[in-house]
Amino acid sequence: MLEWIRDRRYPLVLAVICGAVLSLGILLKPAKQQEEARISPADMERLQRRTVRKRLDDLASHFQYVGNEVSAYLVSLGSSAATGVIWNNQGWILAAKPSSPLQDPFNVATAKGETASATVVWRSREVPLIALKSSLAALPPGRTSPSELEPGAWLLVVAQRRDRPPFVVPAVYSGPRQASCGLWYPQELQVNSPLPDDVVGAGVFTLDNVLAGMVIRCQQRLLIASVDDLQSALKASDSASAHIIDEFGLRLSPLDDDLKDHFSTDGGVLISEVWEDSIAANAGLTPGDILVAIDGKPVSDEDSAEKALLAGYEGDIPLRLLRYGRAINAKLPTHPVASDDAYAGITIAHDSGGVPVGDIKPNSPAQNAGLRPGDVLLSIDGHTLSPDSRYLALLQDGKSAFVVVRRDHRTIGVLLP
Amino acid sequence: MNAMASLGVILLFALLMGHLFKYLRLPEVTGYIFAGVLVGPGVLGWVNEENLSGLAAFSEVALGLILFSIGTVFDLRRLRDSGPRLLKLVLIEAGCTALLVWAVMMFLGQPWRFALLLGITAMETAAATTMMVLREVNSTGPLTDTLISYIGINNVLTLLVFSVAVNAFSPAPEGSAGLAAFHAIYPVLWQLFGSLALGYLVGLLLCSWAVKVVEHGETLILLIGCVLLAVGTAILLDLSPLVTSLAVGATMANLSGQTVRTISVLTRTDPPFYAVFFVIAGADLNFGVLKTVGILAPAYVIARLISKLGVSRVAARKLGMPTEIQNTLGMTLLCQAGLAVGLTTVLRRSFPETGAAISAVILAAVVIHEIIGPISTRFGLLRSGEAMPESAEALTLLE
Repeated sequence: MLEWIRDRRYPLVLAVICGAVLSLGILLKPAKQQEEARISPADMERLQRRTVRKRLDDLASHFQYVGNEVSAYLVSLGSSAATGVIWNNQGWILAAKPSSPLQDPFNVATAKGETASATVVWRSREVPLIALKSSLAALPPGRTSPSELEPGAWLLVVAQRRDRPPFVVPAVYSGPRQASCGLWYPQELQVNSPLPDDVVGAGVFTLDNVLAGMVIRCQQRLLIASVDDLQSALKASDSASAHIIDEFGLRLSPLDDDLKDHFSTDGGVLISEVWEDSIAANAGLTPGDILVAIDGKPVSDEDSAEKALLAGYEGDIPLRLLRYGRAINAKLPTHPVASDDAYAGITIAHDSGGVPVGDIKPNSPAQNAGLRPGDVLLSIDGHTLSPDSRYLALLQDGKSAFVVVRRDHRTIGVLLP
Repeated sequence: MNAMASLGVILLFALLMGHLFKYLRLPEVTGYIFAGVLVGPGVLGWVNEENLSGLAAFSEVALGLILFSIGTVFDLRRLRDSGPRLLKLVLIEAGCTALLVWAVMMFLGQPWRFALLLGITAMETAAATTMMVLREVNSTGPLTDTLISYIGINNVLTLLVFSVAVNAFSPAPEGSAGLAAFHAIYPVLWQLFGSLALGYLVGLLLCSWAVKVVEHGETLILLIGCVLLAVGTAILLDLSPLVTSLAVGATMANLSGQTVRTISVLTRTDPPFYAVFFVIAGADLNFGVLKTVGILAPAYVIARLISKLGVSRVAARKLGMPTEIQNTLGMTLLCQAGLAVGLTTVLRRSFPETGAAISAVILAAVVIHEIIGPISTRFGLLRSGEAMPESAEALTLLE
């Protein structure tokens, strides 16, 4: 021990000095917050914007990532920009009906660059869809119906492009809506952003890689049809009446009592719809004709008629018809004949005259019979109409009348009132 | 494995390796460090990063106790004669080491600030490792005394110079030049005088209480309590735990007649702390870093080695120190660990861009120094004739 320290005052004085040093040091300590305060408001805002920008970039890259994943379920069709969705594991591919016919057979290409030849196995007149069969052994995506989708959820519209990464359009789902597409009324999945023109046939997926719908072209407009409707359209195409429509462009309806009265006949089935440029139209059939016999055998109801027509005739099917009381014979070819209209890719618009329907009163007989604004009245009880035609008076006297209208590439006959 | 089980594994493994290394005539400390490397995340993985951070408090206490025992060497009566000479020795040796490492790093194309920070870190000689070797070989004599004092001064000096450099290189806060100067100088003054003041106050408490406490166990409680209080308060107040513990020891040495008894109590009780300390140090050694730093780490080690060996010899001769000190002091100065590792965390915090690169070089050098340092120190002590490893064991047996 040091000698001077034996005096107890020195250590105590030193202790006081040390205490003072510590207190002074704690007092003078520079505030640490200064480092944080050094960030100016402008820098802060820039930082925040960068953060937001970064998040958006992350979002976009995530969309592209999901798009790349789901592109395994998509193929590109032929040389066109159209996309098809792998529908089942037997090589079926569902696609939107292209604006120009595909050259059969043609190639489909997957995201991995595999190609396979495909043929059209189903082409519908009523629904703007086609189904293809290919030799691809790819797995189809899972599906979700519109009822399972929450409005506000992200949907990714993914189009396959040949030799390029898939084209991904993110959109926010805003709810289902009944759309009309000719005679087809699918549930449309509405989204907040317009669909670009080159996504026809694109698959619409949730962020969980599940298929929710497909982009189809419907009366010059693109819409997203739900998977449920795609499925039911495919299913309906399997019925006999759908085959009749697809094959001959012809719809048969049963003769009810009103129709029997109006046409003063007992048997047969009514031809209620004929598609333009179809076998039936080329054979001269029109709505209002009553089919009474096929190949000499009398027709009792529409089932037997459909069965007879699909019985696998070689060559022409001889038909016996009643047209407003007159019996006529017609021949229905079993193979399509080249249409005179299709020449060098030009289709000449039919100009059959007629009277456009401007408006239809609610609960009127016309509405109840299924007529719509935009239909064109072609004939009443076999009398061809023009705007100044006196036959329009036939509709005003309250008597029943069989009206033929043109709508979406077909003629349809209905009985009023 | 949970923290307690890993602590058990650490202790037993350290004992095993210590025996093995002693048998190989190598320092036990090296065995402990080697045990740490083995059980650590790099090799066997019995002790993971989580356990290591849980055991960090042990390291703090162990380092505090070591610095306390170094501090007890600073007896003013003894330093009255040898002090100025010792201070000159440290200043010359550490200054030359810093300059040489700085020059070599500049020569290797490093930025001058980077090179200077490496130079300053190279000055440090590890207190804990060196002290451990000293105790292990039961060394006494002029070289031992010089070495212990040297380490104390060296560590305080390194800490202060490093603090000055870091504050000078840090971007100055906005405001007047006076404020900027205050910001630069405050941490240095606070770390020195604040730590000394705190150390003195705790030391005073220890001395006045030590007179009343006679029993071995109670003395130990008092001592560990004071060291924990000093280290914890220092961390709380942003002071240096190192300088504070040193000051506690120095206060004890000068004010109390109980120093020798207290130290003997400590020496009989603290080995588990040190074993844990060195095993943790070993487990923390990341050999992977050696691959990333290329030529810089070997260059740093060699420059420091040349300076520590050469300059200390020349300086000791010029200062008229005894021949055995001239010949062997340099060999005992090679350890480098605790403080250097602590400095790397300051570097990473202060210079986010370059800190990682400097840290990598320092940590790689620590890996090398912790292997060669204890061996070289033991060899130097044995050569000087001050080490009596056998008598240490004999004493233990007698007790």
